[in-house]
Amino acid sequence: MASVTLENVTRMYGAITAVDNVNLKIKSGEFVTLLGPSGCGKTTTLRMVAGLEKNTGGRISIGDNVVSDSEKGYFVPSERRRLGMVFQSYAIWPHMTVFDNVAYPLRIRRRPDQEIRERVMKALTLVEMEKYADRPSPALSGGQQQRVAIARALVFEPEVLLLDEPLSNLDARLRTQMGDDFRELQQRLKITALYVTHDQSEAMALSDRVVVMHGGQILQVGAPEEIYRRPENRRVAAFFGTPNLLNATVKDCRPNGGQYYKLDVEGQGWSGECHAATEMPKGADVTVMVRPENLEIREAGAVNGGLSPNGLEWSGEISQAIFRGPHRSIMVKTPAQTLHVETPSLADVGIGRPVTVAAPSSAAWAVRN
Amino acid sequence: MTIIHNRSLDDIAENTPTLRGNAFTRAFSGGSLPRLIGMLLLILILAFLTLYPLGMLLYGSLHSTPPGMAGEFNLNGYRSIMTTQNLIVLANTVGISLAKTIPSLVIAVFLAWIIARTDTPFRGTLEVLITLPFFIPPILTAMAWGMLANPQVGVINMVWRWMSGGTDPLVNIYSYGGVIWHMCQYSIPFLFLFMVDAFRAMDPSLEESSRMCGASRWTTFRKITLLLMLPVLTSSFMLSFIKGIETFESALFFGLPAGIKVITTDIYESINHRATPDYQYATSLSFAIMGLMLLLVIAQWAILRGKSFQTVTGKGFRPNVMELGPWRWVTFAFCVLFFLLTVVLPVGQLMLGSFFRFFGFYTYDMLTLEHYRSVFSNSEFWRALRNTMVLGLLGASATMVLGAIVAYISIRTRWRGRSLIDGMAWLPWMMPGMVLGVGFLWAFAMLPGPIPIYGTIWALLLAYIALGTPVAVRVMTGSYHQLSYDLEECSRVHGASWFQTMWRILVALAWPAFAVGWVLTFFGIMRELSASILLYSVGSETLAVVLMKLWANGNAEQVSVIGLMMMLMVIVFRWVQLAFINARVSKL
Amino acid sequence: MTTSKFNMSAMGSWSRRVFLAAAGSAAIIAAAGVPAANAQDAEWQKVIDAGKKEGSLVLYTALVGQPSTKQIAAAFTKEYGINVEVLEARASEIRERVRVEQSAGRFAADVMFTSEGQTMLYDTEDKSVDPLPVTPNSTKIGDRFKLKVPMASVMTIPYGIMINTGLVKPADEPKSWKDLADPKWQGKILSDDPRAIGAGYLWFFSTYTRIGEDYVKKVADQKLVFTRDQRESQRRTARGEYSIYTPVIMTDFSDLKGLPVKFIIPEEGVPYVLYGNVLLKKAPHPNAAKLYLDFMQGPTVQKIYASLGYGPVLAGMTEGLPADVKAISEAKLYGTTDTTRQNEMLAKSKEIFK
Repeated sequence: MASVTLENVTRMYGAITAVDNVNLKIKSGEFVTLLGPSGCGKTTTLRMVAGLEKNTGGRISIGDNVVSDSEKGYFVPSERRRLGMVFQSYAIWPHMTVFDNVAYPLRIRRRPDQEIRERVMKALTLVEMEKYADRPSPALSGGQQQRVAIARALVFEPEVLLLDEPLSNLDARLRTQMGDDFRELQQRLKITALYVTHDQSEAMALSDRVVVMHGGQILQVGAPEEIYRRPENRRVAAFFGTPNLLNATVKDCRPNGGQYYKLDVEGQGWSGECHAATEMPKGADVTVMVRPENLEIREAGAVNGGLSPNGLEWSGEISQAIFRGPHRSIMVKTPAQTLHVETPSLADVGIGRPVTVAAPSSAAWAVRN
Repeated sequence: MTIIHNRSLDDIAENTPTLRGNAFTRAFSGGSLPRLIGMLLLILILAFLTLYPLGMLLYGSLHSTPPGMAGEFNLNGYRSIMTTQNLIVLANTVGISLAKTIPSLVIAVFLAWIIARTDTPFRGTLEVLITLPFFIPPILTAMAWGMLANPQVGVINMVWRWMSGGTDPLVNIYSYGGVIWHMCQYSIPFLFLFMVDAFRAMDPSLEESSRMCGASRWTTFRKITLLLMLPVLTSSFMLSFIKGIETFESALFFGLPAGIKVITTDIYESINHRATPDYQYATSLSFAIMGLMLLLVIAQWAILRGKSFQTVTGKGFRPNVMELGPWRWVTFAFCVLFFLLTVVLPVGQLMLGSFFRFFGFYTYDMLTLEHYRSVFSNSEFWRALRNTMVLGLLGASATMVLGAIVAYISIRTRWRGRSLIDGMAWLPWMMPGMVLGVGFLWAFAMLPGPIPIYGTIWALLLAYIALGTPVAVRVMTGSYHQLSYDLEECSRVHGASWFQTMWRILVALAWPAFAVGWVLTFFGIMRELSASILLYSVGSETLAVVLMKLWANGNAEQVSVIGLMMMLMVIVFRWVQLAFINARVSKL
Repeated sequence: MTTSKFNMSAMGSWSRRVFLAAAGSAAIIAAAGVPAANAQDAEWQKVIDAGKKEGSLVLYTALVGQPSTKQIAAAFTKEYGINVEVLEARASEIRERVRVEQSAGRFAADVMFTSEGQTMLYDTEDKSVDPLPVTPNSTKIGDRFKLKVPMASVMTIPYGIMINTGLVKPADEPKSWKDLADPKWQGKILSDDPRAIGAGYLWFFSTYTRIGEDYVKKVADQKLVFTRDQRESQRRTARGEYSIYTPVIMTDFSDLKGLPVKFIIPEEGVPYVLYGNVLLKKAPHPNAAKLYLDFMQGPTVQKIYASLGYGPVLAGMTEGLPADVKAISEAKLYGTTDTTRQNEMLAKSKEIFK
């Protein structure tokens, strides 16, 4: 398996920049996900690595080999990059059987029949599809096709595996299961994988590192938890889940002893302590992110009921409650804004009831506006 | 219009042709030099096949004498076609062509839908049967219809009079209606063949999702099925409409007695029925028509521009057919009725006639096998059959390969010059056959001496390839429009070169269209007379030339024997082709 | 061949010139009246020898689909051992082929079998033919078939009237061209289109010039139904769509035996098309071509044509033929078209038959 390096990679369509100066290094055996909303350039980036799209600027290397260098006009076509790829649509060739589909990369490379047979069956076994080898491929369910597509991508042991939203066509349960299976497989085989998705939970569950993209640029690269808890800016923060983002002003800023800073902030009708990645001057406008699952609802007036002394607090009244099975989404109307709170679904709610919403300061993360 | 799968917005933006090509082909740069050379080669081939003969014709239209004779350049040809008379005839021609193309298209679409998308009983058999009239030389069906539907003693009218007791005829084939009906006999099967595989290849979920959105079956058909078929539909409409303007057998046979004139009878007359063939007039008129038809082609480009019609995606689908319930017997009845009207009636007449000394005189003492004996013992026939089979096999295969490549480049790449080759491949279709035949004669005969084409079988082969290319390109274009890019990109990523991908994925997936195109081209070659008669050399007669000789000598019955044999061949071809496809499809 | 049959005076100046060119000194001897016969024979023998050496002949013919072509070729091969390769196409097509081939410097064909009218075009417009050689048989044909244009006449195709015997009572049968103007035939006549070169135009030309415009106009008032397919129209008439088909190729009568039709030779006579051979320029097998031209005017071929009903150009060829064939073959020739007046007459026809 090989690493992948993108240096200043840019892709222009006429005057429109789809991918803007992207730098990224994927280590051998690492699972990296490109995550972002539609139009963020993630698919284009993947396709440039695949050689399906030519980068108009910068350089792409796979392992030690440069595969595309726009300055030098050097370009290795897809078929010589030794990649495996799983397409969003799976691209299972409808005129072939499952076996033929998987055998294709080997046949193209003129491997002996015996070897083809063995490797295809091995790949199919890996994805638990060995029973279906002789099936015509259109007669498969979505999940089965996805497995076939993965088997095909793996069969000749590619340098890098590319996946373009491979799970998006599956139903929710299958998606989770296939995702877990695939992650397990990837770790077992130590495959370098570059994965594109717009689904944050997928990205977090599967990846070693997540690359959040927006408008053709990389916003943040990091481990899933890192990105989830400590986004670098409001955009990244907003991209995961439905966090409460509150405008506030910095009252005080001090180092936290570690790599972060502690801030005292004040918003409209509330104040408290939170964390930030950088030092912020006093009086700066910041956005404070508090995730709904970290908020807690208490009886109105129950001040600072045993939480960390510098926790955050809002008072308001419950305006809406939605039962979601494992938890309950509750909207609390406060002077600042309506807060989204997730509580265990067992708890009882009364619409209109005055409450206090609290969060520990460790759960509040401030980014500069 | 991306109707396929919910590709994300950035993909749609990227798919907008103004912004991006098929990225895959941009990446076809194992060096753009080979691509450039390949493209140049293709342009050269097409230029030789289409531009060169047309250039000779253009010269003919601008020069007072045909090539090879002293004369001067002038615009007399174009001046002489600018008459009110011609304008009326043109309007008439366009009217007739529209009047036959539109109902033909409607019926063909309906038939294609019945055969490809419903559970109508015996649709496999019907698929072969309803296309048969297309493969019979027009002159034979014209004769058969003349016998069936002439107002005086036509069989249909006799039966009608006997039933109704009246004296008025029910139908008269020698009329506008007759001309159009006879043309429909060819355009319906042609259009059907052209479209049926496109219907078959469509993912039913595209239709189903529309139904789920609350659209009725009819709305779904209109808004989804038909729209998705837009490339195929517009292509077939244009092919059929243009052919309708150029056909002249029907007009000559059924229109002339009724005083109906079309533009091609005028051209025919200016070449064949004037003291001196007026090539300047004929070519000028042809170019004027060609100019008008080019507008149509441009209109089609404009309609299809920037839209995606990919209905074959990498996600497998079960080619479900629609269950019609008791209605399937109605669709079945429709097919059977169509089969009876367009096949059984005329072909039955030919078959019956071939066993009697004369068509239409069915008495016991006229019963004979003489016509069969004459044909089978005719050494010229066998020689011509052999020549034609060789030409047909080579010609159809070469044409389809050329067509597949041209269609691929024009549909699935953004290469510079792709519109040029697409346009060039259209040209032969827009020139009436008899004029184009003269163009080939001039072109090949005027080649410098050492190039041994004229007077050899190569001249015929090249002319056939040129003549067949428009249909070949259209058939393949329709098919390529349907295939999603993923399928080929996936192949490239997994190590296949451009050619391997072309062959293993695209040709393999477009195979049904390829086969239909092949059959159409093959039988086009078998029937082609205009160019053949001008290019064949002693000993290289083709079947069409032999048929023409037999016909000219009044051996209509022998001509039908051969016509019936050609039809038999079609049945075998189609059966093999469909059985082969069915064998694959049935596993689904 | 004897001197008495060698009639110099019958030859036009064109053929004298040719002859001089072709036969060279022998002609001068002939003109001097010295033993020309032997010199002639010797010259002809040389042609025969050279022709046999050439071994083959390429014939283009505008008379499409006639089995007689093959029959004659076989007879020729039998006579001289020269192989005949035939290429058939319709008049305008074959003419264009010859013209283009020649202007591209491809001289592929030796002899063209075509009509008198076409020959004139070959000669004057395309300049694709050589002057006619004098051959032994060329002097023996009927005087009216010795033409100004360089065509060696071979036979005439006669045109008449065809009726459906089921629809026309014997008493009502038209006997002459004039009878076609009888109002009782209104709407019952199927006619070859007189507005385009072909049989209908031939009828128009000959009757217009001989009977007059009034007659033609009267016929035009009969609501003729036009067609352009000779054979199919015969069948249609036989099946009873129309009572009369005109003008019909009389020689087709044998093909339609057994059908309820009758071929009538009009009293005035039969308009005809004269067919013959022309020698194409730079013929690759010039001697074989001469032999073929001569052979076509000889008794063997003339008898073949007479037996099919065509009008031979050599007298005495109809002996012993069945009466019906003999009548057609010997039918009085009424007239043919004049190529020089073609455009004018076509325009007139279009004007009369709107």
